[in-house]
Amino acid sequence: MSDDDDLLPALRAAQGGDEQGFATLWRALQPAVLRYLRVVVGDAAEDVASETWLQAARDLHRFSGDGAAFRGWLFRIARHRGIDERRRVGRRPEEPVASGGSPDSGLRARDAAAEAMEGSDTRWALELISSLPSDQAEAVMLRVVAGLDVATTAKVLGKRSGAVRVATMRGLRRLAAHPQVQARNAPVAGNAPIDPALPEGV
Amino acid sequence: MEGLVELLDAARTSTPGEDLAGERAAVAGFLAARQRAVPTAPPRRRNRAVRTIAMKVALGFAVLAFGGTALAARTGSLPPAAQERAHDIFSQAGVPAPDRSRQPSAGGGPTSAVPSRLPTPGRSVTSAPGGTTVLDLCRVWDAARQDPPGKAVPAPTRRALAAAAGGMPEIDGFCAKQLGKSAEPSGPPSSGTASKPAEPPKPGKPTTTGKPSDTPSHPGKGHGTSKRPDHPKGRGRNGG
Repeated sequence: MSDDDDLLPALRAAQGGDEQGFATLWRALQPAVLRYLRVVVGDAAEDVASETWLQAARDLHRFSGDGAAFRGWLFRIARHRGIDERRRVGRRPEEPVASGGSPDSGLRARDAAAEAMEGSDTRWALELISSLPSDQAEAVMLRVVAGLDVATTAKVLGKRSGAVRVATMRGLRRLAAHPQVQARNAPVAGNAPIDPALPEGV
Repeated sequence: MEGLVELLDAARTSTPGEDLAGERAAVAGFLAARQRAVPTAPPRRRNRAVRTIAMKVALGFAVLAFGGTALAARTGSLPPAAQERAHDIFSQAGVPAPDRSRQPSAGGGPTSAVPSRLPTPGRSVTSAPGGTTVLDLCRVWDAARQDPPGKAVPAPTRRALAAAAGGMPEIDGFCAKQLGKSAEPSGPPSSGTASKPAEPPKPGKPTTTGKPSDTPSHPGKGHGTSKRPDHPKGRGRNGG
């Protein structure tokens, strides 16, 4: 990805101790990290993103690789911090976390303050993706939003490439079939107007 | 499919200015990590479990260290025992121990850090390893404080600082003190710390040793009569 080639000078500078380099990395990747974490941990995303960057800063001297590898490395940190956060919240009795299996409740809801930080379209999109089963939601976020390739995504998720492909495809298919997404399809196509109330099990 | 494309675009797009509040905190964390990093250590790949444990231990230690450090930092240095323990904990967790050779040997603190400016990365800053943790967290706090207050500070940092300072509202003052102290080149403690051992006994405090030369400011002999009516005349008697 050319994007990651652009990151390489900043990465090398940061590894050499340059704070500007690190700030460049942060600016380039923080939005995607935050969105990914939004889907994983809901409104704890900012906190977990901060922890992610602190750990990245601490371990940067141990990292070797190019820009694309750094992207994968960073998201692996983000995922583990996210898992830690979900465990922590899961242990807290007053705020039960939903079990990861069911499509609607596998991921945490977001609060109004967090929503105010993003545009309504982004909010809408992340909400829909969050409504997927968590393995599909994570695969879609890492592949499409974070821009990781299949192999890197598989590494981040600790899965095989085939499983990542399947999860991504299922997630995208499910999103495409969602009534709100269907409703946004251009009516010019001449298709019969789609009833938003249609069941989505196509 | 337009709907799906729209959805994915929306998920990807970031509006300018958004999300970027934590940059200063992240950079401060980076600088703090650079100071602690030991570049001479060979790059080793650790498995994730070890790394996770190490990080938890480090965070846990940050909390533990605060109790002692809050007191010790006032005198400008940590007790050696705390540094010993830090070393033990960290080495057990597989984390390279903080560079001890960087510690100032004794009293000769060479730094002349300017308080308003974060120190440049490298080895120019000397401070005790345990103290570095507190300062790191305070630097992160300080950097993030100017944005939305405390927003970008990671939760563990916030919790640790709150625990150390005695509550969220106290963190500002606590960190201001910490950062202020860190700017001083390990000089003498200001005054009034009770841990100073060589403090002379206060005059007027009746000592039970019965030394007659206790009364101050009268070079000659003789007990000034009626100077202190409540003071017993017979000083040698310590019945009680």
